[in-house]
Amino acid sequence: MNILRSLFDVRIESKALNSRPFYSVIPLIFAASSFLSAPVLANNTSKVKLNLSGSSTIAPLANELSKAFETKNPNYRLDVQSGGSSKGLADARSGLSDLGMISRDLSDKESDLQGTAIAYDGIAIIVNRENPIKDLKSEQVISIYTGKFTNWKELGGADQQITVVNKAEGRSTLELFLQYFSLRNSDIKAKMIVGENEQAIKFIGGNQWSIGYVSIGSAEYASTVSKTIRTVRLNGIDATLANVKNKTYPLRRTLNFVHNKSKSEKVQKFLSFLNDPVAVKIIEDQFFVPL
Amino acid sequence: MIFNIFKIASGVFAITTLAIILSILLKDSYFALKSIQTISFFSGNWSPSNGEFNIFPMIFGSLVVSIGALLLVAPISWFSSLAITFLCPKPLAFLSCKLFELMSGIPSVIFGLWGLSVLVPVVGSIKPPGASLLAASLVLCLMVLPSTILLFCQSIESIPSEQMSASNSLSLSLMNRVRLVVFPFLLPRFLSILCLQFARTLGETMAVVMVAGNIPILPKSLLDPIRTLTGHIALEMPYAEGLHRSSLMFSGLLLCLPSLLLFYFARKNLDKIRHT
Repeated sequence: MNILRSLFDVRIESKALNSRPFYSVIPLIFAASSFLSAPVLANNTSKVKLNLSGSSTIAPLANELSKAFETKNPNYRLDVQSGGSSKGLADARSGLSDLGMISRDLSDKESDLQGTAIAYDGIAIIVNRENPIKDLKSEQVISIYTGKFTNWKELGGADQQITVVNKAEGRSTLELFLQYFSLRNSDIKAKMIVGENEQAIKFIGGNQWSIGYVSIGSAEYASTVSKTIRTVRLNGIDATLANVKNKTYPLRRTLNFVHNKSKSEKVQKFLSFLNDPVAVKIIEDQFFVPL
Repeated sequence: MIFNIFKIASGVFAITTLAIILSILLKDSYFALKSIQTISFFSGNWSPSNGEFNIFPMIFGSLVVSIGALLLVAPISWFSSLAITFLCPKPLAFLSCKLFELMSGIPSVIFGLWGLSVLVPVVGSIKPPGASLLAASLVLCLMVLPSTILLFCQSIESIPSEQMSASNSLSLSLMNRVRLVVFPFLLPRFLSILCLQFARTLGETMAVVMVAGNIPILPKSLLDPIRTLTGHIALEMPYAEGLHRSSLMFSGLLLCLPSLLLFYFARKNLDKIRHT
């Protein structure tokens, strides 16, 4: 009962609120806002709407693509929401969105949907720029992540403890990483868990003896622009976009748009736009690898 | 008349919003409560893909990080506010107040970013990895400190001038004045301010996610990584489905209860002040 009383017990001491002119403004505000919002609402309904949702890796790319698509086809209105590959898959299945964005290939269990590959992406293993380690083998990465190696000197580096950075449960980079190295998440002895790629780059950039993995586009961007981190060669192969493109770099994935088997006309139109040179340019600008 | 209607309307609005939030949390966490035994929320590991849902480390983490921050905040802001109101020359007091006002306007994520790139490596040089309980508490302390100091100053200024002049006329020393007049008068106010700040630190997400390390395991020392309930939800919610999602909703519910309690205590304290 006390909670109820205290909630009702609003005391506003200001005189201005008690005077009449204030109340006469309220209906005015409502009226003005409905007039202002009316054209926007009306405009929206007359356009063809296309909803995209899913992987946070693809979302920024999809945003740029949809902007270009909207300029080309002014009667279309695209809405991009990120929230992870699983959300993209679920939304495409339930019809909540027209296209789901997933940053992996469709598995056999998901054959009720159809996927269209749009670009490649790889995972780069990154360390701080001050760290002398330049090359790692798969077994070494596994040993670091399972806690068998805890000091850089066991890998021929400095006598410093390794800070292992892992991704949070459910992230597609984590999924690909675990799948490639045949690990289970419970085997990983991490010291830091992060969500977004950017967060991993920030942490490793500021903490000299840490190691982590992020999507290759963002790693290449960060290592050329901010210069606080460096990518590590995996099994002797440079983690570069070029090597993902020629398929020599092993730790890579395909980015897909998924949709119902019966493609609607608007979906068809957007998918065919992806082969347009404008779209290819955008994919490259976003540090992904066009097909 | 109209004002009363508004009063009741906003009261009803507040209660319905609260009810909606709680009912959604209850509805969405029902699935987890039904299919996971209560005991397994407090034993084993956190590993939803293996069907393990131990959220105790997160509950512990949230409480310990916030309490740690408050233990730092309470004495610092008590002494700083005393210094500002009684000891500093006017211009310096004015300047520091303005500075604190500026600081309290900084978004918490900026504190997090600063913690990540400056504080974490410093803590890491004592013992790696640096992202730890200590770092999280320090960042939270820095985040709530300016507004706490300002609120403390404000409540010191709210002491009736008769009491201050009376204590002056007794020619009490500053120490005694603070001990006998200021402190007893302000204690309930301070407690409710600290309650509200406690709720704020419990609810802080981004700043903590950046510096806490987020490992879902009970920490063994101040320098071990820790995960809070808010960080737990923020990190995993975007990609969670089914039972995983539902158990995250349950942690949201758990987070809601202490916040409500704290607001209630703060409010009760203030009511007490008003009635005396």
